[in-house]
Amino acid sequence: MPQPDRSDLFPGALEMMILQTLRRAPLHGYALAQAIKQASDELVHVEEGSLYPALQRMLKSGWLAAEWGVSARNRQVRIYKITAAGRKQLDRKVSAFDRLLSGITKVMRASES
Amino acid sequence: MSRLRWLFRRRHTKDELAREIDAHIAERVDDLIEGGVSPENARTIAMREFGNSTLQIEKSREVWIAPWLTSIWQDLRYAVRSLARQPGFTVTAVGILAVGIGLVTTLFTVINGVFLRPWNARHASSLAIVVQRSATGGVPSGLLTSPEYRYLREHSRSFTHLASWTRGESLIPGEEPVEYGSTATHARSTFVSANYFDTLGIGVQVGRTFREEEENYGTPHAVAIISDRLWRDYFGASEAMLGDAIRVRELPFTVIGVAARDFRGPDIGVPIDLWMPLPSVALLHSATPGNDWLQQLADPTSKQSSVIGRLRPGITRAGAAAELTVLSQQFRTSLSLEPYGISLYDTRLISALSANAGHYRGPLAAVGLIFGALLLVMLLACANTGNLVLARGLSRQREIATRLSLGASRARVVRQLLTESLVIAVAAGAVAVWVASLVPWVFSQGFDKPERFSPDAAVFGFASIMAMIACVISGVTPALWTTKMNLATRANERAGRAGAGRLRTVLLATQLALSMVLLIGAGLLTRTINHVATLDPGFAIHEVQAIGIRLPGGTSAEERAAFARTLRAAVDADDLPAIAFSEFTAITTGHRRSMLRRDGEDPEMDRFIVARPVSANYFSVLGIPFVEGRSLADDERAREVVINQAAARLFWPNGTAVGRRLVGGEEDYPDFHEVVGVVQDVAVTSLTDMQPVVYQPIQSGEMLFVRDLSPTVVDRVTSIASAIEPRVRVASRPLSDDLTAIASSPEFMFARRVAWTIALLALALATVGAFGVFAYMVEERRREIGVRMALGAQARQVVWAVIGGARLPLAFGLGIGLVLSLGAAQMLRSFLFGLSPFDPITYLGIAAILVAAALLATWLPARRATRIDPAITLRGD
Repeated sequence: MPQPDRSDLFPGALEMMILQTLRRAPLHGYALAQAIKQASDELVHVEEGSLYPALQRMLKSGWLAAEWGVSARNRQVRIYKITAAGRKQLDRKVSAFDRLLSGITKVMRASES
Repeated sequence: MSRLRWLFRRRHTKDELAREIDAHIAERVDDLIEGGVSPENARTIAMREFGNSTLQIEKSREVWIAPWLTSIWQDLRYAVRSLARQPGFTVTAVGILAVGIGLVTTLFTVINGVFLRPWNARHASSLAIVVQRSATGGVPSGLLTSPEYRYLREHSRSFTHLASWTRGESLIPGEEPVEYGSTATHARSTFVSANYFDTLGIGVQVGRTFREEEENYGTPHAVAIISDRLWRDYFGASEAMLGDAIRVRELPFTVIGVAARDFRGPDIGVPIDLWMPLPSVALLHSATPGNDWLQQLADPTSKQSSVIGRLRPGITRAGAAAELTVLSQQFRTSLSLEPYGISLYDTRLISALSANAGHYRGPLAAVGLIFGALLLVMLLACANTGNLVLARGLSRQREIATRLSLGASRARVVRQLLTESLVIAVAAGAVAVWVASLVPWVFSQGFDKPERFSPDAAVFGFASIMAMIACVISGVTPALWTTKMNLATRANERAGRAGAGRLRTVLLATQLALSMVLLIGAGLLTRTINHVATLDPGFAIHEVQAIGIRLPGGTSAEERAAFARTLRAAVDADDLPAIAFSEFTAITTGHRRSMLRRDGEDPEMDRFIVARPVSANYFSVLGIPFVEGRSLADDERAREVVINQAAARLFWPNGTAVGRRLVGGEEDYPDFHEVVGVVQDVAVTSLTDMQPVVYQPIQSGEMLFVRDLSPTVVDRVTSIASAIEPRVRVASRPLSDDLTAIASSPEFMFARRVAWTIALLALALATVGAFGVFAYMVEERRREIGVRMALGAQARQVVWAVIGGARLPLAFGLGIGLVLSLGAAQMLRSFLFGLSPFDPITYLGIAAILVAAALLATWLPARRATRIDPAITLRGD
């Protein structure tokens, strides 16, 4: 399936951040985007064009569950929360990401020296 | 699952996404306003940030739909469009397949209706047919005795109801003459226990069902329930007739109810119009001597009760059968009778048949053969359509090549082509179901229970499977060929065409071969009629005259016996050639059987032997040679029998039969017969199958045999018979008519008609298919033919060149067809009366028909080829 992910993030990064963010608390789409933005000190900006398809993909994979609820402003919103499968996926992703990152770091250091 | 749900709830989920996105934007707008932006600007900014919301919805939505699903939809739409552009091709292909699928589906509808559907009763699944089987678990004998039925009804706890019925004298419900006022008609009747209607869950539309006290075995009550048909068609549907008496066989029966509208008895077969309480059978059938029904209903050895039960909820058939077996054995042991077991069947005919497969081998084999033949026709239709699809594929080479070169994978293009075949096959399947849905209408024209033949889930399922098979057979090979050719690139076009030509040859040859198999079957069945007349039945059949004497209807058995005795005496006293008597003609499928065992054997060992009552001089008049011993004594009380060699082999495989005794009847009342002679096996019930026969002595009968073909004997016998009874009718014929009668019985005439219909249909399909292929071939070679004509070729040469193309398929088709037919004809053996399945006349005749059909199919396109104008053809390129 083509990834409609147009951001500069590497594949899977958005999902990882969504899972991590939702692990702390269930959130609706807009709040989720804001939470990621704030947590990254505004370094990561989640495009809406990527966010909603990503959420649908993750719903389909069973990593997330969604239900209709009310936002802080008393607006009807769909609230996403992480499932057990989602937590497992997050752990896998994080360890894979750690390995990748340490690999990249080593390469960068080696070429620097 | 959620994906599926998604498909169904598309619109709903689309709304959800839209709402979610609206909420997102609204939240953003609120944030912006809180940050000090003016409301109008905030909206614009939020919208710009978010981008195209419809696109977001679509993209989020796509996540859920598998791409293959969307592309299948694409394929379907493309297939329908492309088929719609060539209506001629589409209609032909669908039509041909619909013939094939329609025929098998129609037959399946009938098979389904007859064998696979339960009875027309409420909750038929909890009904159980109760039959008796022998202690050794042998073939169920079916009927129970009436006292045993009543014992089971009283003691069984497994059933809410246990009903019984009997059909009177014969196994086939008799037609009783019925009168009401000035209306007289005939009605098929059955005698039922009082709880019969309750057991089946069938009510009455007017009046009431039977009361328990109306099943009175001491003094039978003369009450009746009539069918809706009888009530409306003959008695004017008047409620006032309740309580009135109708006259059944001249006896008054009070009408107490009219059965529910579509109820004509539960069993498939003969529709019932008249129900009367079981004991009242004695009122109608007591006139026959030695057949007092009240005695029979009380006799624990006289079996005439069919029994059906309605299982209590939660009770299984196996459990109920176990209980009934125990009860039945209790009952029978208390009367010192052989203990038997009880089996239960569901109400589908197939259940009883599969338990007694041996008894029904004939009809089942016939159904199987017809089904096989129709499957062949369907294959033929598929091959035909396959040819058409291939031809169409060849003419679409450019389109397919373009698609492949633009990057479509071969699999993708094959799938696209298969989708077209699928659309054709499904359309044909739909037509087939429509055709099958006409079956009930056909059955309503003179047959029983049309509702059993309306298409149900089984019929739909069958038609779908057939459509899938048709799609695969007619679609896969052409699709593979067409795309393979394109892969080999257009540069190598010649090789590709040669390959397609080979495939066409194979398909055409298959068609010819299949038609040949079916035509040979039909041909053999027809040749049988001529063949049997030449058969030697083993006695002097061509020198004997048979004289049948018919007494007027209503003559009692005693009167008949008296008449026959007087006739015998008068004939003997007259100066006539020796005259033999029997109750049957010499060769007939209709026969009586006796249960016989060797002296000293257990009744369990009883064998059903064909029994022929004959006079002592029967063997000498008909010329049946004795192998051993002498003929019967001319004395009925002598208790002697003559048996044929087959029977002698059956009972005494080693050693002589003469002087030994055969025994019939129950153990306590044995019935001894001494074997005084053994005659050669001659045709009795069939021309080929020499069954064991026991000839029993009679003094007189209504069939007379004389070894003299002159009419004077008949005249003399006629005058003697008329002198005794003026209303008698005498008919004489050469006994050799028996031979042809057996092969021209309605069943065999029907079988031949069915066989020819199927075979000719197959031939028509093959001819049309061949015609299509050759017409296409001429079209394809237009240019070549044009050049040849321009170079001076004669029309005749062109015609032969085209027809020559049929040589190979014809040769292969006839060759393969011959091999297949030789195998298939073996299956017909039992229907051929000794005609060789390799009858050369049939084979040569059918081969000639096929060659003629192939020539016709190629000649017409060839003629068209000669009309090609070279100038136009060459300019066209």
